[in-house]
Amino acid sequence: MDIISGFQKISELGTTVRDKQTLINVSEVWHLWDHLSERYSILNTTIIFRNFARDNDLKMVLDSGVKTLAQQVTELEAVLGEYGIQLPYRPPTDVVSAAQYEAIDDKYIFRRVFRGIQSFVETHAEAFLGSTSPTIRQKFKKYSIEEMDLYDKLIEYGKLKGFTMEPPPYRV
Amino acid sequence: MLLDKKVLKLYVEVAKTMEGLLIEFGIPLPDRYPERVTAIGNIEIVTDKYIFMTMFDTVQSIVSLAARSFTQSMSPYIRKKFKKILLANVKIFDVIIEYGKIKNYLTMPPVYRQ
Repeated sequence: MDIISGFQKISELGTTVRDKQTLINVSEVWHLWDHLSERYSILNTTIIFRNFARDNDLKMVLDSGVKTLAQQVTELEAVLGEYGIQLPYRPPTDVVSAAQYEAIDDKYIFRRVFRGIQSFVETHAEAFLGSTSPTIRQKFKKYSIEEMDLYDKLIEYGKLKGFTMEPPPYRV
Repeated sequence: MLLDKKVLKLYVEVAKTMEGLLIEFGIPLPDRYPERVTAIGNIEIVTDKYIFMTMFDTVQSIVSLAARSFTQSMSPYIRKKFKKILLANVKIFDVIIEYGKIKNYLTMPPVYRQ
């Protein structure tokens, strides 16, 4: 809740990193660290696949994904730094490859990114459920909602392009 | 008051939404619980903490379930309904967890560093 997380921020104003570590619990630390390392890995994958994408609008979709991810990574790094939590290793800044593999086509790239986001929505919900302090819970809630909006758009794009696979319909 | 005004109201709405969806698509509905419960045997067992913990566990599992349902639905119409349910449950989870912390019903996980 906004009011309560506001109170928490005010009460944490003068505290040192060491003191802040007594306010956060182990479950939140795990989720924060896990989210950051998953985001690094997805960022790396997306940057690599950006090289192999052939369709211009898929390139645009991947670019906007990279932009959102980079912004979330910066935010998460700031939070982890605030609580003095060890950061994971970062992937390389950029990957530029001139090779072209026929096997990695647009459909494969889309499916890979799409499945990643599908499982990510649940990860966000689990992280939200496991946090006790209001500021961190609010952060996960924000990411959850952003992820859901992104998922909505991505699935419609995928259906338009014929990249998604429909489960069997219900018929008695 | 928390139970009546927020939780009960939310779940009556969720139940109505789901019933509407099931009826629309012609899927058989499950049985319903009795409308009212008047006589309980051993009332000392049902403490406030017990009621709160049951409710807390339910809301937690519904948030997980709604998130999974959201990702697994293909049509935008159904997905929008699940998103609404998920957001309403997330909002009420925020309220419930703060209530639990104030009343000291919840056991907190260990702190990162003592």
